[in-house]
Amino acid sequence: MGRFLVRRFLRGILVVLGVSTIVFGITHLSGDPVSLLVDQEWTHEQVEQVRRDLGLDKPVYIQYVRYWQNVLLGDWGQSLRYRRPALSLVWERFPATVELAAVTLIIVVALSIPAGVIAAVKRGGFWDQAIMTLAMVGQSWPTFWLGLVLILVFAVKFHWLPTSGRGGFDHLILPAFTLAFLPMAMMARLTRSAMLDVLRADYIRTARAKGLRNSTVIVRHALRNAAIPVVTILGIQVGSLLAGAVVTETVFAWPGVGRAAVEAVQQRDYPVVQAVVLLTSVVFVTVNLAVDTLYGVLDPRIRYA
Amino acid sequence: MGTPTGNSMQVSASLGQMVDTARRREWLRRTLRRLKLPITGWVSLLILVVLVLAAILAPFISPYDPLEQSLADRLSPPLTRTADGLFFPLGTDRLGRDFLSRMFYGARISLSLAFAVVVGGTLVGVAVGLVSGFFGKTVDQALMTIVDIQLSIPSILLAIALLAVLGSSIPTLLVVLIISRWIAHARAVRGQVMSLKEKEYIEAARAVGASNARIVLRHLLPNTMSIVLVLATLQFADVIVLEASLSFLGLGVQPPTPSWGGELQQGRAFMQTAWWLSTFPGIALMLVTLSMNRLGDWLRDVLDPALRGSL
Repeated sequence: MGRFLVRRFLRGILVVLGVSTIVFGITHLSGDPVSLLVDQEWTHEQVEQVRRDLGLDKPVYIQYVRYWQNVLLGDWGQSLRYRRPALSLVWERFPATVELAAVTLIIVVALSIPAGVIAAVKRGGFWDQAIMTLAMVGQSWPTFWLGLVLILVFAVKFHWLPTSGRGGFDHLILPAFTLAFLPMAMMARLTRSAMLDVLRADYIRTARAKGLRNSTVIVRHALRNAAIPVVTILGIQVGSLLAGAVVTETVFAWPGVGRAAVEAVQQRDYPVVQAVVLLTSVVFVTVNLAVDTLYGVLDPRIRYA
Repeated sequence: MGTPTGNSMQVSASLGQMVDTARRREWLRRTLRRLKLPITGWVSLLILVVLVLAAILAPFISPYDPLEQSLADRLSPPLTRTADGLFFPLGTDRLGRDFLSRMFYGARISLSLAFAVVVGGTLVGVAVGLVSGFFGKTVDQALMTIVDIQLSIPSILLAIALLAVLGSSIPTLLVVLIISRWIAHARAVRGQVMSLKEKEYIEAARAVGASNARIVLRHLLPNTMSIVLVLATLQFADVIVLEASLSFLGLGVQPPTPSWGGELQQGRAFMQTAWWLSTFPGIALMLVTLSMNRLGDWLRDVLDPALRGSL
C-alpha cells in the first residue's frame, strides 16, 4: 500500500507540473504574454519595463524554466488589479468555496444515497419511478437556470431566503441546493444501479435465509458492498466541488474561487486566472489521492497491486 | 497467376466480409427486436425533431428579424398584440426584439454549435483512444498522462482560461469546447480497444496478414461504435449546457447574436418584471438536455446493456 501511494503521489506531482505547463502554454497562445499582463492605457515604456522585469524578453525555454522555479517557490505572479500576489488573493477565496462544498456534499450524501437505496429495493415500484424521474430531471436542469428559478421563488417571491452573498447559514441554502442538484441526481442513479448489482448476489440470499432483518441485510450487507463505485464517483464530485462552482458562485455572488476566476477574466487579470487553475488542480489531485487511500479502509480486499 | 498468399488472403478477406455482413445483419435484427422505445423516449425524440426543425427553418418560420429592434414595444409580455397590428407570441426583450424569433435563431446557434462540438470531440477522442489502446506502452502512457492532466482542470475553468486569452468568437468557442470534450471518448475507446485486441478474431486477422491500419479501422473501430454513439448522445446534452454556461458568464456567443445561454443571461436582470426572458430559454435548454439524456440512456440499454451504471 505504501508503494502504491508513493506512486500515486509522484503521478499527482507529474499531473500538477503538466497543468502548470498548460497554463504557461495558454499565456503564450496569444502571441505576446505581456499583452495579458498590462493595462491598455500603459505607455510603451511601461510595457517594455514589465517585459524586462518578468524576463519575457528572454527566449521561451528560459522563461519556461524561470516560470517553474517561480511556481515551486510559491510565486504565482501578481494580480494586476490589486497589485498583490495572485496566490494569496485566490487562497483567501478558498474558505468560502470549502464552506459551500461541505454543505453541498452533506446534502448530496444525505439525500441521494438513501434515495438510490430505496429505488433499488423497491425496484419498478412507485418510489423507484418517482426517484428516477426526479433524478432524470435533476440531471438535465441547467445549473444557472435552476439557481435563477430558486432565487425567484424562495428569495424574491416568498422572501424566505437571501438572494445572494455570503453570510449566515440561510445564505448557504439556495446555492448549496443548486450545486447539489446535479451530483445528487448522478449519485442516486449510481447508488441504485450499484445496489441492484449487489442485491442479486448469493450472500444476500444467504443473509436473508439466515433470517436477518431486512434493514440489516440492506444496510450492513448490501450497501457496504455497493459502496466502492459510489465512493469513487463521490470522490470525483468532492474534487470538482472544491475546484469552485464557477456558475453557481456567479449566480449567487458567492465569494469563492470560481467567482474569483470569472471576476479575474472580466477584469483581464490574467495572473489570477492562472492561479485559480493551478490551485484547483492541486486540490483536485490531493482529493483523489485521499480517495485512493480510502479504498483500502472501505474494502480490505484491495491490495493496491 | 497470383501468389498463394495473395489468393488465400483474397479468400479470407471475402470470407471475412461474409461473416461481417452476416454478423451485422444478426446484430441489426437483435437490436431492432430490443428497440422497445418507451413512451418517454418517443416524446423525447419528438421534442428534439421539433427543436431541430425550428433551428433549420428559423429564417422561414421566424415572424420577425431577430435583430430588429422596436423600442416602443420593449418588454411586451407573451401574446401581446400591439396597436399597429404586430403580434409577439413570446413577447419581446429589452430592445423590443421579437423573442420567439430570437429563440428560433438561438436554437440554430446553440444546437449547431453543440453538434459540431460533439462531432469534433468524438473524432479526436476516438482517434486518440484507438491509438492509445492499440499501441499501448509509451504512446498509451503519454496520451493517458495528458488525459489525467486535463481531467484535473474543471472543463469550465479551462474553457474560461482559454477564452480569456483567445477572445470569444464562434470558431474559438468551437475549438475550446472540443478540447473540453474529447477525453471521455478517448478513455472509453481505449478501454474497449484494450480488451478487444486480445480477442481471437484480431489474432486471426493478424495471422492472415492484415496491416495495423486495417485491424484498427476495419476490426476494432466498428466494435467501439456503440459506446461512442451512447457517449456522443449524452455529451450533446453536456455541451449544450456548457456552451450556455459560458454564454451566461459572458464568454460564449456574443450579443447581438442570439443563443439560449446568452438570452438567459440578459433575461436575468428582468427576472421580476419580464419572466419570459429567462423562462423560455431555460425551458428550451432543459427540454434538449432531458430528451438527449433520455435517448442516451435508452441507446445505452439497447446497444450495450453492460454499460448500465458505468456511463
